[in-house]
Amino acid sequence: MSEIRNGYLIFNDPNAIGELEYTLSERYTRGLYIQDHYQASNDRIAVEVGVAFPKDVSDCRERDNVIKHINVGAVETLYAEPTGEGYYEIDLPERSDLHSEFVKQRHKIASKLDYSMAKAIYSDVYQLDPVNNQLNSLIQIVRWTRKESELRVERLDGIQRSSNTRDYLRVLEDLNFLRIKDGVIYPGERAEAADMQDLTLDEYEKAVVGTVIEESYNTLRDQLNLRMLNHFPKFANSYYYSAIQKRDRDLWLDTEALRKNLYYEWGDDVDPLVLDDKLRKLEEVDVIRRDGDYVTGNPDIYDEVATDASTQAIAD
Amino acid sequence: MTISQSDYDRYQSKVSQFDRQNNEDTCLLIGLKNILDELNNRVEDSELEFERDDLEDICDYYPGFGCSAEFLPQQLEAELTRHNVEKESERELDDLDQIISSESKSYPLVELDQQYFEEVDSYQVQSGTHGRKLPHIVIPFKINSDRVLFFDPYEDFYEIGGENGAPPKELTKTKFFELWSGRAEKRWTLWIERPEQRTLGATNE
Repeated sequence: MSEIRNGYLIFNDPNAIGELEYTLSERYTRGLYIQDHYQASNDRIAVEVGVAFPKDVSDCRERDNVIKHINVGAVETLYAEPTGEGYYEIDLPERSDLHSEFVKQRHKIASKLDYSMAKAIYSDVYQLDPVNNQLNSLIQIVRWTRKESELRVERLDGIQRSSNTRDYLRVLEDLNFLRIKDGVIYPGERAEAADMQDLTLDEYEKAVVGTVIEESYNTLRDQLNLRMLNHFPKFANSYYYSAIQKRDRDLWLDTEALRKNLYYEWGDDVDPLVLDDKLRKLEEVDVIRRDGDYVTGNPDIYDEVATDASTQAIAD
Repeated sequence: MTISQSDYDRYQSKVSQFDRQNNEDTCLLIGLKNILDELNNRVEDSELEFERDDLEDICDYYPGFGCSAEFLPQQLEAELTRHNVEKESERELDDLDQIISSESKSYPLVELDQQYFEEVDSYQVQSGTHGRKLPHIVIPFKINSDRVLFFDPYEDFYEIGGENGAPPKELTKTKFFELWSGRAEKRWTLWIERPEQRTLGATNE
C-alpha cells in the first residue's frame, strides 16, 4: 500500500520501491525515479529521488532519431518516519520545490561541463577579444612579474587602477606563481620552475593562464566576476553537451538544436545572430567546425572533454 | 478479425488533424489536447476546446520536468461542466476497447512501461547513468482479436514535413497488456466522457 494523504506519502512496505516510485512519479513527474534508499538515523528510511528527462540528441544530418533520457541524479532526499502503527510517512515537498532542485541540478551539470571545456579550450579562446579584454589585468600581472623579478604592489596599483589587482595577486600567490613580502612581488616556486623549462614570455603567459583557469576557475568566474571565462565554453558546450550525452564524437547538430541547449541547460535565450557570431569565432580557432547551418566538433576537444566529464560523472 | 483497411484509413484521417508534439517532454500534454480536440470534432461541444497554455496550467507542466498526472483529472474536470475525466489503473483490454468504441468518450491516453521503447524501430531511446527511462504516453485506436493499433507521438515528432503521416504502431495484445497493465508497476489510463443522459423513466424509478 502506498498513497498520498494531506501532503504525506503513507506506505507500509519499505521494500516495495516500484510502488513508491509510481506514486511519487504521478505527483511530480514521469521522469522521477528512486535512485537509492537506505536506513537512516532514528529508524527513518532515506529515499533519494532522481529525475530523468527526455532529450532529442539526433544527428541533424543523418536523422538517426535518438532520444536520450538523461538522468540528472538525486535532486532530493526524502525521509520516511515510522509512525509506530505499522506504516511510514513522508512529508512531501511541494512540486515547485522539487522542480527548482531539478533545474539547479541541470544548471550544475552544465556548469561542470563548462569547467571541463574551459580547461580544454582556454589556449584557443583566451586570445579572442572579449576574453582577452577581461583577463587583461591578470595577463599583465603575469607578464610584468615575469619581466621584473621584484615589482612593488603600489606600482601595479598605480598602473591598473583597479580593485581587482589585489584579488589577482592573491590568486597568483595562492597558486605559488608569486610571493609578496613587504609590498614587493617576487617570483613564486612555480614561476621559478618555469624558468627551468626555458619558456618564452608568451609561452609562460599561456602556461600560467592555463593553470590559473584550471585551478581557480570558480574563484575567477564567481568571486572575481570574470564571466567571460565560461562565455565561450558555454557556446562550445551548446554543441558538445549533446555529443557527450550521446557519446557520439561525429554528431552533427543544427544551430536550432544548439539554441535549445542554451535555453534549457543554461537558461539563456540566445538570438540566432548572436549565436552565429559566437560560433564563427569558435570555428576560427577550431573548437567547432561548421558546414552551412550544421555544426560538429573537433575530435581532440571532444575526447578531452568527454574524458574529463566521465571522471566527474557529469555526462548524464 | 484483423485490423482492416478502413481502420487504418480512420486512424490516418484522425491523426492527420492532431497537434504535433514539438518538445520531447510533452507527450502527455499534446496527447491530452489531441483527444480533447478529437472528441470535440465528434460531439461538437465548445467546452472541450482548450488553448495550449491553458492545458499547460491544467497539467502543471514545467518545461523539461513534464506534467503531473495526479492533479490532472480534477483540474481538467474543474473546467468542464458536461464531461467527466476518468483516470484509472488496473484496467482490462476489454475495458479499453469499450472506451475506444464509445461515441461519447474520447480516445484514451495510456501510459506504457519504459520497456515499450525496446519494441520501437523508427527511433531509439537511450537511458542515462542510472539506466532509467521515462514511461511513454500513447493513444490506442483499435483493438481486435490479437492486436492493438495505437498512436505513438514520437513517430510524428521525427516526421519531416507538415502533416502527421507516420504509420500507426501495432503490438500484440499480450505485449501491449504487459507494457500497460501487466507488469509490476501499474500504469494509468485517462479519458474524457460525457455521462449518459438518464431517461425520464429511469429518473423516476
